[in-house]
Amino acid sequence: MTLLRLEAVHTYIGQFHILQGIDMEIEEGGVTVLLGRNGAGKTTTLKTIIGLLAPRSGQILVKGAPIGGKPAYEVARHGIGYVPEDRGVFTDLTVEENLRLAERKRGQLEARKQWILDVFPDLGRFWAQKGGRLSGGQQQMLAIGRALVADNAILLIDEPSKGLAPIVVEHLAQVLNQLKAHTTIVLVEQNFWLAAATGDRYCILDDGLSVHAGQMAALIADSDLQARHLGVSAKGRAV
Amino acid sequence: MMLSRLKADRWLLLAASVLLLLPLPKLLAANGLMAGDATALWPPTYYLQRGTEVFVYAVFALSYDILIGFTGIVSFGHSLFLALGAYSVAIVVMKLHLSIWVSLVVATLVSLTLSVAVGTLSLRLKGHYFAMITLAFAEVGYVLATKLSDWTGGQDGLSVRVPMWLVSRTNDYYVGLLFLMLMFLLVRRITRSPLGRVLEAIRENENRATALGYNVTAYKVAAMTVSGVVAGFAGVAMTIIDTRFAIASLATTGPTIEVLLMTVLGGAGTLIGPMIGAAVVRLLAYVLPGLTDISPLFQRWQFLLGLIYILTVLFLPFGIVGTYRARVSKALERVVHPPARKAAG
Amino acid sequence: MGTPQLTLPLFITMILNGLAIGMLYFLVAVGLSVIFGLMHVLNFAHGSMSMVGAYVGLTVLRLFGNPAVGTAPSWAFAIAIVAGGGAGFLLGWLTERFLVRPLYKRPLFLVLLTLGLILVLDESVKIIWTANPQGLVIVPALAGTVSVLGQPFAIYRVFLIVFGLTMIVLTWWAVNRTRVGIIIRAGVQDSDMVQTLGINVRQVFSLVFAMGVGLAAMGGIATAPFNGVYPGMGGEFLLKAFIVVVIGGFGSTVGTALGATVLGLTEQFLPWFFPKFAAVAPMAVMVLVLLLRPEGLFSFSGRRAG
Repeated sequence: MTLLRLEAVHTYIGQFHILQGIDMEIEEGGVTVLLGRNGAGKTTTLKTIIGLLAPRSGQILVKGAPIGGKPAYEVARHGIGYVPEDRGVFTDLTVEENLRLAERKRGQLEARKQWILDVFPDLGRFWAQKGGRLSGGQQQMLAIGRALVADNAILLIDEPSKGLAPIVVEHLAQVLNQLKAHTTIVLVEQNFWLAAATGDRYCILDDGLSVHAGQMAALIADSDLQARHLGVSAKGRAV
Repeated sequence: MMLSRLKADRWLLLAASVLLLLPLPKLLAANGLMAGDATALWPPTYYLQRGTEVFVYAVFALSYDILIGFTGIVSFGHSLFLALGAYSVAIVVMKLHLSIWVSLVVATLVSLTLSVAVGTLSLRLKGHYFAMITLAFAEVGYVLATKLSDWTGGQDGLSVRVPMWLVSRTNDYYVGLLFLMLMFLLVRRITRSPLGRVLEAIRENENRATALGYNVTAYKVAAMTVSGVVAGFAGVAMTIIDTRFAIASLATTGPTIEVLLMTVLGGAGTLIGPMIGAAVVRLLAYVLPGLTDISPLFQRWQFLLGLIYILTVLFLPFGIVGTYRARVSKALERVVHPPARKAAG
Repeated sequence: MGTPQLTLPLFITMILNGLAIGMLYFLVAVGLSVIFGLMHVLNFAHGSMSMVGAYVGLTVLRLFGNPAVGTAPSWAFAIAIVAGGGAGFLLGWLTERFLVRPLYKRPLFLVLLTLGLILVLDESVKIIWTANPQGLVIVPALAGTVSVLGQPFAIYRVFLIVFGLTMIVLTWWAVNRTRVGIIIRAGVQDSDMVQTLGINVRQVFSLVFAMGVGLAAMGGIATAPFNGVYPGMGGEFLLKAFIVVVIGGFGSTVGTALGATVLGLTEQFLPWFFPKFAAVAPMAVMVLVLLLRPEGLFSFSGRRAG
């Protein structure tokens, strides 16, 4: 079943035409990885879905309900969690407060606390610490954990591996693989290793257009395709 | 071709308005008002003084337009320079007993020095912080003006005696008109100079101006200096040809808010707009209270001005002249590039 | 010099006086600080709004007696504070909802708008209540003095300290212990991110604007027994609030409380040591802090709330 659908989405930032007609279908379950060169429009696509940027034209549908152009808080209430590139951790709030902020109903945090702590044991250890005191990896875990507090059917995660040590990235891959049993994930990732290790499907963006989509396994096997669109074939073959 | 024609029109308009303003004293005299006709509502000097006042405020508004309209910075301490000009004249003439010509030199030097100093210090800060620090500077000026009463006359202010030939309101009027014309040409020249173009680049996009290698802060200090000196001149003119009085309240936020109103109402960044704004605001200040018979509300004319101003901010952000120009250039656009051709291109 | 010896009892009275005034400054400034921290709106009309609240409170007090000669009953003063605060709350809410909201994307015009509001509000009170200062005598229950180490100390100032501390604690509790408080502190850092969590920050904006102005309005009435209520008080409050917020740092309630106390104490002690320049000193301090530490004296990690 199609959970999230983008139809001919155009987005401008100021006078710049960033998304020039994105078409995309996100199936329920698993991880869909958005790939593409820098400036292809991956982050803009996520921001447009969550409602931080308004599309100038086109349709965005969640379970058939149009959300394009709605403010972010309404989009989020359709069951979409967002983990931005800079993680969006509130540095002046404690870990608990960061998580509590994401509650959409009273008691949600209590209901899910144990599960979240099982996935991210570090968060329990720093429960009463300010978000600003956490390391980059821990902040990433907090940001993802926060997106799990509410009943989100879809998580949009933007470049979680950025600035993290390889060993943390490996842990992240385990976490994402663990999470995809519970929720659908749309992942923007430049690190092809992480994309390959977690992705089920992929969608390649180039110059604001969606140019290719398919099964991740097929992309991993097709080094020509990688070279053409990603320029990462060497790295891809190594995996 | 259309554009140059428009520019020529604008010059004609300006020349026409000066020509219209020139014979006002003669007109008043011809109507018997000059002789102190007892039946007249107000003595003719009243109208001349109003005119002079408009000229002085128009210069003050021009100076503010350099900041808000051409550089995109909002100073809340602009009244400080008005007060500096006024007090320079008053103190040099009344306390040091020197000639009024000396006071002109002193006023220039004082407003130059202080605008460089205030600009250098405060322009290290951005946005709201800049607004607050300029406000604080003006407030320091106000408090000093009230406390150093040996020099400033304290809360009572200082009256200024001017040479006999300036006591005539007719002469004041002509001097004021000439002063405004000179200042308009000066400011216009500066805004169209390379300096002016850099300032506009800063207003449009400060980061890009920095990236292009301009020392943005230095340019802003330059803008504030020009603006401060011109505002100082307005203060000088105020004490010599208009009120003949320097008072501490000139340094409060009152005049700053008023000049902001004139600039925004007329259209920031247009030079002509702020002058029109000055005329509208100052004339309303005298016309509206006269309507008290209709409604006592008119006695509080500043309330009405405030409402007009808020409506301008909400619905007419480019002011009178800015909106008019946008209309004209849109109309021109349609003439020069007809829609059909535009679509093809 | 003819100034008396600075004895310990006198010293303590001066500290208490400074605290009492500092509490008033806190009430007036805290809204300015949090509104700027959260919405990036520097509300130049904050002082004038506080003044309008003071006028409303006074008018309500008049329903029960003549406050100018002290015939208004003591309990009515409590009603006046609540009514003035309520009027401020409403004024703040309306301003955010109808005037500020359309301009969030045009910050320059937002500043211009709040300046225009000064003019409109200051003139409105002159239209409604005339330009003359309106007196308010301390109500009987709070009149008189107590003895502090042999020095007389006004009960009203004791009331101010208690009232102010209560408000500080309540504000601290609201910001640090409630869900709205968490949203405010998060929003001060990144209001877009708060939106993506499913929270309509705009609703909180209105509430914070209303609460901030409401607190300032309470501060407005509470100062009335000192100088009365008059059209110029808006401008004076604004300057004091600026100084407090600059010292304390924007967006921080704790910083505002500290800044307000520092200003209150400074104003008590400076005239003692530098009688001539006491009036310029607060401004000079503000200029210095802005130049040397624009994030505020009591801000330790950049912009923060809490």
